[in-house]
Amino acid sequence: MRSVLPALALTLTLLPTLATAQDPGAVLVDFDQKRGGTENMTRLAHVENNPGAWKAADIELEQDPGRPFVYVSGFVNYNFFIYDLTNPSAPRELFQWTIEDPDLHRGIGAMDGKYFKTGGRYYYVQSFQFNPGSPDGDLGAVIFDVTGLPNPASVREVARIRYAASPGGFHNIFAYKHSTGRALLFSTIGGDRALIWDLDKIVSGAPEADWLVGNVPNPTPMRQMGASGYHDFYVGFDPATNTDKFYGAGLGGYSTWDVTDPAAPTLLFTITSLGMDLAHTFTPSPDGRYAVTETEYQYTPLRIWDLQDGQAGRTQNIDQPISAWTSDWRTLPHNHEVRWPYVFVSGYEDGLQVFNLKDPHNPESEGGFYTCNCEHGKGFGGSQETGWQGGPSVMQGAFGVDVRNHDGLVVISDMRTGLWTFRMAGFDGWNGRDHGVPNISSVQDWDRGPERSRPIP
Amino acid sequence: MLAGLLLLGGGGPYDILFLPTRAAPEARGTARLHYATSPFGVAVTAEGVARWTVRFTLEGLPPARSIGNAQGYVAWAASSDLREWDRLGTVTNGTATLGHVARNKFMVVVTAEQDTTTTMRRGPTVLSGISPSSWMQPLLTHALFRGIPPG
Repeated sequence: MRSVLPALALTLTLLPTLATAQDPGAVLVDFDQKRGGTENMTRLAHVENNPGAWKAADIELEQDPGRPFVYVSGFVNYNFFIYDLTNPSAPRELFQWTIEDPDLHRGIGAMDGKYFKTGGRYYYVQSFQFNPGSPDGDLGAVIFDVTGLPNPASVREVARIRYAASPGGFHNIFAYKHSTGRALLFSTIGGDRALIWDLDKIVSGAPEADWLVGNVPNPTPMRQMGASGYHDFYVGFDPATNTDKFYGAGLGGYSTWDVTDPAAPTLLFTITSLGMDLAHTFTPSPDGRYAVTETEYQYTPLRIWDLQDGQAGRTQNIDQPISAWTSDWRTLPHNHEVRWPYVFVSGYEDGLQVFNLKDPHNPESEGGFYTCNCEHGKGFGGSQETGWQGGPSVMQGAFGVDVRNHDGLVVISDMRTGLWTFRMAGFDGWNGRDHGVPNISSVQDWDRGPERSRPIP
Repeated sequence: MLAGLLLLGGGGPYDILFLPTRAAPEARGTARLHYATSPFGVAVTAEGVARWTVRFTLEGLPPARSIGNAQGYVAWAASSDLREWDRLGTVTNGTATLGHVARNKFMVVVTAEQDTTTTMRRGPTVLSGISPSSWMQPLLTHALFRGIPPG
């Protein structure tokens, strides 16, 4: 019989090495220890914008250096706030607006806001969701002229967008500078499509019948729940094909459309697969090669996709992600902003999180800051009658995130705690060209339109 | 569209749960809809709209004068768009049956009024509730959309 001792000795020698190679990763932070942040993330300011348990939904930064304003949607408080971030360490409240008779309204209220510029004037559009049976059940958004900021007395309401055919309002909106120069607003509705509105017509006082200029059907509904509409989307220009593209999260999967002609969108490809339930957010890289997606259920990570075959027309459906990322497998990341190769995440209970996709197959965490400071699993749910508390839920904490391209300021809107401002070490701003990609992000060039094949100055 | 009945954690299809406002945060109450008196059992208008009396059960209303020097509380039925208001009558803590409401969807509102005989709502809202016919909600505003069972 051959001695087993040499083999045993060899195994014992290699055991530590093997154990390291199978390292499962960093130790998870206990829920009650989720305070503060990583060394490279500096918290500049924190403002509680609303009283009560629920303070904010989404957030929007203006991008012009001479207009340091941020807009915070007030969620179930049915209001929104405008802050001056001339000093990002000391946000100054400039303006607050609340729907009339808020006590008589029912619904989740002020959800998403976007700013846009057209005709030399600046506007802010606030989306609302009120229940059918509540006042303003057909109200989707209210548009304000904010050109005169920081003078709050100059802010004036210019229009309300209503859509009675699908009551319940607009959960998400996206303001887009189309390649034709038009300012368009894409909105979700409860129905089976996204709507496309002409902002120039709206703010110029054109007849309401002329406001709606197109729609994008949803080819990936969540059939098992009868959820036919989009939840969110991103619209961006594709310089490789000189087309405007719509990336939609359709609750049952994702789809990409050519919306160069808003009146006649063309489906390019879809992403459907197992686990795509509650497909929630879909953000491509600046060149459209990769994408980050979110599905809105606990434990699911953000998925990273290679869209090349879809973009090139070689496939009608993509069904395999190339990688995934999460900050804590026990929770849920929410929205995100891509500033390639960085992805800034509003990570619900995990606050602000940032990871990089320098190698899209191997996402790496960069840092973060806990903003929720909340009890795990006691998130948003239930109904208005129960104070929006129901069964176990991780939907609380960082709801929205935005990045200011000219100086790298990062902001978070936290459902529980309000407005936060941050700086990440080494991130002093973003221009895609510095990273070998088109200078395309959710930020719109409202003066010149999307970047085409312009020579680099 | 999903029924909102589950969201309310109880109560039947004729019950209205009131939400208090900051003017009277301790106020509580419910209302139950009863078909108005009719020889036919189910009371409807000539247009076929159900006609109700409303039985209020309220508690926690503070002294009215503590709210802007009001003299009492008045209950109203309002159309969903708040454009039309029908006075139902005065209410206090306890029970009261008032009528009539003849709308498909409506809100029931209690305000604190300086003149309790007023036929126009002027005072602050202290309680509000929506009719059971208004419970059906789009999925995107529904808690179930967030992947959690209600209640």
